[in-house]
Amino acid sequence: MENELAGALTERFPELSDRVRVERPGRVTVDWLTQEEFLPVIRFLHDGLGLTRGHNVIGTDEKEDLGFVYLISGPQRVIAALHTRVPKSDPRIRSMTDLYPMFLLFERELVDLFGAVVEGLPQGRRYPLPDKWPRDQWPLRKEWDPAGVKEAMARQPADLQDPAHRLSEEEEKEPSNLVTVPIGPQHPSLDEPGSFAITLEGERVRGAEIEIGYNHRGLEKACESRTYVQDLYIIERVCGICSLAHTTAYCMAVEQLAGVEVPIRAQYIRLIAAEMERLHSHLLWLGVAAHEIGFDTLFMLTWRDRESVLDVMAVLGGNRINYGVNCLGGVRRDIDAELEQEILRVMDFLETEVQNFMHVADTEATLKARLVGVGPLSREDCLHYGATGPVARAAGVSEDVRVVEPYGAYREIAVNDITDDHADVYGRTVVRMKEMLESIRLIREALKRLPEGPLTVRVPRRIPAGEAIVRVEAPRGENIHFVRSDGSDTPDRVRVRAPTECNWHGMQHMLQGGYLSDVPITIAAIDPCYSCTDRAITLRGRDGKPLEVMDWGTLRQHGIQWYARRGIDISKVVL
Amino acid sequence: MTKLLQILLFPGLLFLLAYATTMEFIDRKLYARLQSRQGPPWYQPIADFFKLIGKKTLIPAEANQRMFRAIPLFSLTAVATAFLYIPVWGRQAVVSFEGDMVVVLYLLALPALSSFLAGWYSRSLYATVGATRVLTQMFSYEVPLFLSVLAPTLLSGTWSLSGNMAFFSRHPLLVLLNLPAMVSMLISVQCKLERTPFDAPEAETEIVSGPLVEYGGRYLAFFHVAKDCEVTVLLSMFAALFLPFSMGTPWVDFLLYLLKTGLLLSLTCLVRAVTARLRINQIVSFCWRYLLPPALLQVVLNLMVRGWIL
Repeated sequence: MENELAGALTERFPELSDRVRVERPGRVTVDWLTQEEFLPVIRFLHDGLGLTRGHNVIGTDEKEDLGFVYLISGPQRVIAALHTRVPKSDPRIRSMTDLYPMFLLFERELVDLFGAVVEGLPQGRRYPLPDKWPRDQWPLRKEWDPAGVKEAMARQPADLQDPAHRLSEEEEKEPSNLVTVPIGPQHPSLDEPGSFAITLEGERVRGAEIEIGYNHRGLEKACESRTYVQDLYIIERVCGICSLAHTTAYCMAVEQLAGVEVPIRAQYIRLIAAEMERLHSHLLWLGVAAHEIGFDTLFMLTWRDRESVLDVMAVLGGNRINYGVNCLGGVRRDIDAELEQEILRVMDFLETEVQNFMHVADTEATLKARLVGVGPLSREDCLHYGATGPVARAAGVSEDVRVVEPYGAYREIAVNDITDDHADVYGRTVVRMKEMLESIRLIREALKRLPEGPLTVRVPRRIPAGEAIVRVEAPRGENIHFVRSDGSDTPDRVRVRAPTECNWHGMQHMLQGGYLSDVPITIAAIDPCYSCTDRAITLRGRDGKPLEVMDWGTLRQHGIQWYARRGIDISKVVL
Repeated sequence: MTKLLQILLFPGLLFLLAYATTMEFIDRKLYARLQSRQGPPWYQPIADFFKLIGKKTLIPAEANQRMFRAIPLFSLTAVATAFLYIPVWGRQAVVSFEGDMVVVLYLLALPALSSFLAGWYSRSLYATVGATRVLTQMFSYEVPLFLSVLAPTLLSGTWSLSGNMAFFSRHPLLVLLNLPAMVSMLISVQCKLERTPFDAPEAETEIVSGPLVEYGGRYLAFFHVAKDCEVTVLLSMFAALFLPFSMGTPWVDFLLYLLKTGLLLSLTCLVRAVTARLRINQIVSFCWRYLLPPALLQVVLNLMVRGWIL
């Protein structure tokens, strides 16, 4: 497959023959192109070869230049990685959102984090950095110095309008029967901060403005200044729910670069842990979704059952979440006979429970009334907006990485592809429930076949130079990690693309035309993971208060004083 | 003098408050057990009340100050007054006259109206959306509710709750005739009490908590008490109309009353536990499509039965 794609490419563009490389199955790399060369190539791949699915756009720092890696794929499921570069003195690139609408957020990241000038990028809110972040501070450029931010903040023109004010002004301009209801950044239905300005006509949603990026923590930048082993701890904390999916992807990328093969027993343990993670993630989701539609009993029951999975994870990894099962070259903990029995017992319990939940979803009239037909995203729309995971599978788009590009122990234990044709929130519910049953089957199968052998192999401290693009199926969908090494013991660039980042693109489409009551469940139905997506080192000043940048120490001091003013002394607390 | 004691202590205001608090506890405990949770201890509703009383009260600057303070008390007074017309101790209510049913129905419409006004005068976006939902919902359940309440009185020929009870204790079998209206009324009550699946007006995950979003401290505490009392009064009225079985001995009837209202509470709690929240448009169409026809049928049926048999 990959050779055919490379052949077609060199046939059309003979001058690229020395730059098109096929190093691994499923990947075609096209080395550095100039902007003039790049545009016809990507257009040919899109129009001529049907590579219409965009996965990610990764920015890199190439000393004097800015590099961009476009990851696209087509029906053959081969990912083409197109590298293009422009000088930092004139960092202008063309926006690819006309060909790939799902690149919108990724290109906004390039603007904010790398200072690229993306021509033709649709107007919209900043992402992922705060609205008041100085426009000339680009954190992911290597020469960026955090010390300069404070001064740059002070230099900012004072008339930077707060988006909230902007909204209310617009409202005043056109008096109509439209009301704008803010959902977030703090709202009972959101578990993490995100802001949705919902324009209503009566109870009907006429428009939705989505602002995310409240949780940007600069993890990718942090990874660049630490060693590969230290980065593992950062990647573990990208997400609170699917931490294992992220570390698996990261470890696989580093192992690929180092050229080591993970022991077979470790691969099986990774599979078992990954499926356990999917189970607890989907149970959590089911509870959240039930709570959004006011079905608190289902919420309580699913979260009760989720505890049993977390207990097993605590025994396996030592923690309920952020269990840290993975390490470079294998896994850290083993599954012994006692734990195996415990897992099998939990699986039996969960199987009856999940079947019970499926029965509820199948028969409960009020539940169906709230889910069927809500937040529609058709098959075509899923492909158009690049939706992934259960959202896409609910519309019949089968893009399960475990199926299309099996990795690790999934090469030996085949995964059944689960799809549905409801293409709405109900379909997403059904898909997730069936996936839970599939996970239970996979875990039992893996435990039955669990081979003997070592748990880890040694991974060198210095990783040979190279690039690795690894896909892993997280509970929420396709998870892509890009790791580039320059031969030292710290990575040159780590790019984490969480599945939620893809699923945001279709959100406006899903919300429009629905009811206000359906907004929370529609948002929840993509199982958004804000922290994965917005991967701060800043605190935004509140209206009227001066902006300030806080480092960890001042933040801690601020916290202690805040409580001290209220009569609570926490400075004596030993951590 | 005895009348005044009856109004203030038993079976009037004090009993209502105590019983409403107990009902809230049973409701919460049962709800928790149905969700496989432990649930609160028996004194939790009282503790909640005193905690709220002790909290600082904030009133939004844009809100109408006088209305904002007066509405909770308004709601509580209306409900407590309605309770006096419902037979609890024996077959006779504390106060009764021919046509007291209309007064009770009017008084019981006030909590929803005050909830609307509370939302409206809070001048908050969520509260306003909630207030509109309260009114929308009211227009959908009030008609089936009124017709269902009307139906048994057409049979008994009296518009007094006490008179109604006396009539049905003379003809206990006729109660069975009211079954369609009873079902319609039971669901209307669930809807009037804004309990799941009809809790769209206060949907926490959509509009935070609807009309009461700006309320806090003692004003919220009074709203909660009013809500608890509303539950008790509505269920008591339901028991008096559709389960009018009595023995004639006051204390036995009182125990029967506790049993009847307790069972009704468990039933509404069960419904609340096993359903998801409907959208407001679904509630409106549900009420008009499924609650109204049985109630109308009952009215026609009862008129015919009254004409032919009695």
